[in-house]
Amino acid sequence: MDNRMRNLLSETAAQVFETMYYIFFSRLHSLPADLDWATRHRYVKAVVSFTGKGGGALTLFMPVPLARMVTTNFLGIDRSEVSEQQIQDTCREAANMVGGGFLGQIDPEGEYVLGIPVVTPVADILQEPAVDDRDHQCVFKTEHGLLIIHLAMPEG
Amino acid sequence: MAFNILVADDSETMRAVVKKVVTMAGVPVGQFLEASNGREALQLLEESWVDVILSDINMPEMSGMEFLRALKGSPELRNIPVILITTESSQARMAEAQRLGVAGYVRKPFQPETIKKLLDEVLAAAYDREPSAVPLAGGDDDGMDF
Repeated sequence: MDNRMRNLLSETAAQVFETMYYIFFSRLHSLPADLDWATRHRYVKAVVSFTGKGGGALTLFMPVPLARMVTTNFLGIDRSEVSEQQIQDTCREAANMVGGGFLGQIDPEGEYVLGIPVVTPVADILQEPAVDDRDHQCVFKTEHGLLIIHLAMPEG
Repeated sequence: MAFNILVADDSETMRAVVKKVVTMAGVPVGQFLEASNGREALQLLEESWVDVILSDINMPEMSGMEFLRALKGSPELRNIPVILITTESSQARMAEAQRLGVAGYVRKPFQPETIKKLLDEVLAAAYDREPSAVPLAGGDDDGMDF
């Protein structure tokens, strides 16, 4: 992923998380060498695929505390009231918004068509191939753990 | 006049947020109807009177664009104003939505004030309703609690 794409993806993600969820983050160059980020929390992943021009997929990896905070802020309810279903739904919507916003910027003609996002728990974040694929990911530090966004699409 | 409002979005949480924004916007709501895709929305329209529709585009089974085409093809439903609330931002698809007669669209992520403003405009145009004077956030506190 070139710098332009990386910047666009980062700006889109920041806009979504700040505007809708009141979550602010700082960008990191790469995943920290210390694996505390991976072992401290369980993660969920939200994947949204897209077709057109060879297609691709955008994946958000969120630690559960971040996913819970995002949901709490989005719904404006108490943290203790947030259900698993609401967390999944909010993570799906986050992937939808980041994916839609990003594709809208790189594809004004609308050749890409966004699919329906899918959310699944991650058994071991370190075993996820997308997490190892550092050339196609953006990493962000939040108060509630690391947010990793992976973009799989044909280069060029 | 209270308005019956239909929100079509496959995200239950997004529907809850939109409902909250509409309520806080001071729009008098009669019934607030919810559908998780275009097909469900069409079914609800067979059973209930609806004054305005807020719809997502990216939904399973029947997308917002398919729903919009079905609406505009129906003599009974074609005049219901539709506001799209969507992540979709490609110029081509927005141009198609405009051709189909969409009343307006709000891009996600959105500020609650954006929905309020557009809803006020759409209701004023369609039903001669005076825009609500109720600000979404009072005084200096602009932090929405959703």
